[in-house]
Amino acid sequence: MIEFSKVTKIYAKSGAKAVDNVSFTVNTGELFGFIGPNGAGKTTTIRMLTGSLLPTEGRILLDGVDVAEKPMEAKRKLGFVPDGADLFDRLSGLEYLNFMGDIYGVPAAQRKERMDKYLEMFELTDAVGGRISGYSKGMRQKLATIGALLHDPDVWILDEPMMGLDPKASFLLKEEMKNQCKLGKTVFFSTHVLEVAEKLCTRVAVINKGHLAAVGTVDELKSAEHAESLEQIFLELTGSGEETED
Amino acid sequence: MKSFFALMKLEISGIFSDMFARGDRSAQKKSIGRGAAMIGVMGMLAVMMVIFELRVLDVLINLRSADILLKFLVAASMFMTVMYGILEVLSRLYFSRDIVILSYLPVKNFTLYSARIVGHLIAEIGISALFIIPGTVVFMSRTGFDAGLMLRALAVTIISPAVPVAFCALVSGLISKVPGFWTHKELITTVFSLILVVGAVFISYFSGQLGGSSVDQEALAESITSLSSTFDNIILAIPPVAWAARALTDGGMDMLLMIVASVVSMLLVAVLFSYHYIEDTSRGSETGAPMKKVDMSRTVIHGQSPFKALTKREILEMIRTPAYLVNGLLGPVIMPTMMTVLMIIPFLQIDGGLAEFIRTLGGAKQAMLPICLFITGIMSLMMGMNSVASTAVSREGRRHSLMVSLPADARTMIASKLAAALFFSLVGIIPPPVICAVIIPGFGAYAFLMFLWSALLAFIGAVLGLIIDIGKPRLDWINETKAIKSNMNQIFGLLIFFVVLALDAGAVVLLFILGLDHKLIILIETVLLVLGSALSFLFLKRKAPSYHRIEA
Repeated sequence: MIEFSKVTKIYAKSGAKAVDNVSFTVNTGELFGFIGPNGAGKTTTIRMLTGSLLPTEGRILLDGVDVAEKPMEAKRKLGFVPDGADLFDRLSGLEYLNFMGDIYGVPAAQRKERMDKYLEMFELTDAVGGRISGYSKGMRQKLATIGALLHDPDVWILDEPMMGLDPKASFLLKEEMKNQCKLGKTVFFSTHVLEVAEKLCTRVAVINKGHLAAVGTVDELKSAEHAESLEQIFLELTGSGEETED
Repeated sequence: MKSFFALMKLEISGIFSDMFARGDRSAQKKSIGRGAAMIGVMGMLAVMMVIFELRVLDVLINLRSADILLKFLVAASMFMTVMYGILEVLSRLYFSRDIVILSYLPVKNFTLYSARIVGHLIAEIGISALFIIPGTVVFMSRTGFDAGLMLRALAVTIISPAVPVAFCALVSGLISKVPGFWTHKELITTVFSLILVVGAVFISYFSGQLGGSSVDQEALAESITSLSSTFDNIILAIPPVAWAARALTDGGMDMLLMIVASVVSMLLVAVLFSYHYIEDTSRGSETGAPMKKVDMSRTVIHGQSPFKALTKREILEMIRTPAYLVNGLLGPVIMPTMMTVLMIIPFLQIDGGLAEFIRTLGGAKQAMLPICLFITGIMSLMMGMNSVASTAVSREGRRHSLMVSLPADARTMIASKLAAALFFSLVGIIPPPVICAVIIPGFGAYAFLMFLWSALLAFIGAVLGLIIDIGKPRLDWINETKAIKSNMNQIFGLLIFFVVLALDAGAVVLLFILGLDHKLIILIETVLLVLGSALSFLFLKRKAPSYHRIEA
């Protein structure tokens, strides 16, 4: 379970308020979509959730653990796939996975079993010995995904996970996200692809200019906003499709 | 032309972005601080140059060939521009990640390439200014004010780096044409860099003979006389250097030739290498993963602690990245040994060898400690070029958000960076004591002291470097050279380490002046360095948690 309670983030350097008094809950076993235009505060929210940034105000609880107060305990519970999959280019895929396994303390036998499974699933076995610098964006994304799943996290956080993935890899990732939820894990992901969010998510949250605009199931939002699609809801809640940098 | 200036502005702002941060007031204050510190470093180097110049100039005036100093400074500035800039140019031209964006812009290859080299040229003017301007002022302080000379000095300062920059671009262009360059660019760049650094050390050592090893005026005069004719020949052998040197001393036709050579050389490399430039350079960002299949059934996995995993990652990244290898590792790893060997060789060549030299210093009992301290000082000076620690957080770049999402506390993260930096320092400081123990009779115990003191100094340097980098890491780099070489934290780390070294050297000199027993000096020096290490470590321990509070 993830609980955001009156979370605000003001960047110390610029004084910009990226997230403003955001509160919502993601239940255990939910596949939760976090949508919003660029610059809305999605990445900032995710970075606070993963412990990369500290909230200026408010609390984020991950299965009851305060991310700011007990960051190590919270971080052990989550697996994170960063936006753009900026990984360690000079390591090979295998070295990267072993690095992640070491950091999360995954026993060798379990690590190997999961590596075999996911490398096979994402068709990366043939390239795992090569340096990450030679990987395509999609391959990096796949590797980051495997790295995040290696310790079987209770909460899986993905920042724009579909970016750069081919249709097959995208399908496999979506299936794995659903599978994780069936196993009782929580999946929280941000996306621009509204169709994906509409078809996949148990619930969604829309964020705009740092404010939480709406939370609920897609059907709930549709009836509340008298809209026919998530795209329509999104455009109504965010004013327009205009985009700025995130 | 508009796109040329826009691209050039982009280049220059990229080079100086670390010094002149924009945004809120605190960033501006830091920028002012960094700018002041940079001026401080430049000022310190200028003072060192002036001391050297004053020493040589008096002898040259007596020999009625004072202008050789000016010629030497022009040649030295051009040489340094090549040495300092060659990898920078290679990296800027062919390894920058921003080519992915620039390649989409409707600009011609020639425009982009020209903007890049001209941007670099403007950045390099600082080096020539450092050599030429203070030298000219010193020259005029002895020979009288000459407005013409001052104007020529300004012109040569601005124009003379053009040929060296064009040369760097030429070499970089040729390297990029080596078959297999794009597939093996790391290996090719590393081999080239190694050759370059070793060559530079030897050239610097032999040119250092001009004033460095001569202790009295008579010997200095003799040394200068013998070297001046050789130097003149070298200058004449390289026309652009000769034109630039004479443009400063004489002006006239040589000034014209320098300007023409500068323009033509820049144009020539731009014409030669801009053809297919974007297409070629874009190959550097091509992916296409090498199909290195791993037989997972045979792969044996050994788990290790987060600290070991993090340290291993740091070490592998340093070793496998040419820009890090050259700018961060060659100094601390190779230079201490090279300098030790270069220092000992001349003493082996004198009649009676080292034993005779030791006898002239008052015998083994009196000589061993000063020799030990001197070599430790030189070794540590070389070690000061260790930027592994002072750029450790910066090198994370955009991966920083991934790093801080990992369940490893800040102290483990920082400890792993410190361990990696010390690992490389240790690789560099083990050989010199061993060499000295083998070559210098009865030096065994002092060799151990050399190792101990160097290790403690390396520790202090690494800790201070890390403290600086945690404070304000540069995470927005677009190529790895920028992460390490164009990073102001590297310069601050170097500066602070030199201050520590100077304070330590001052304390030791004071102990000698006070006439203390050598054993007592050894004890005090060891206690001082242990205390310094402990204090700096405590400070780092307090600072470490802020690693998780960096707002990139």
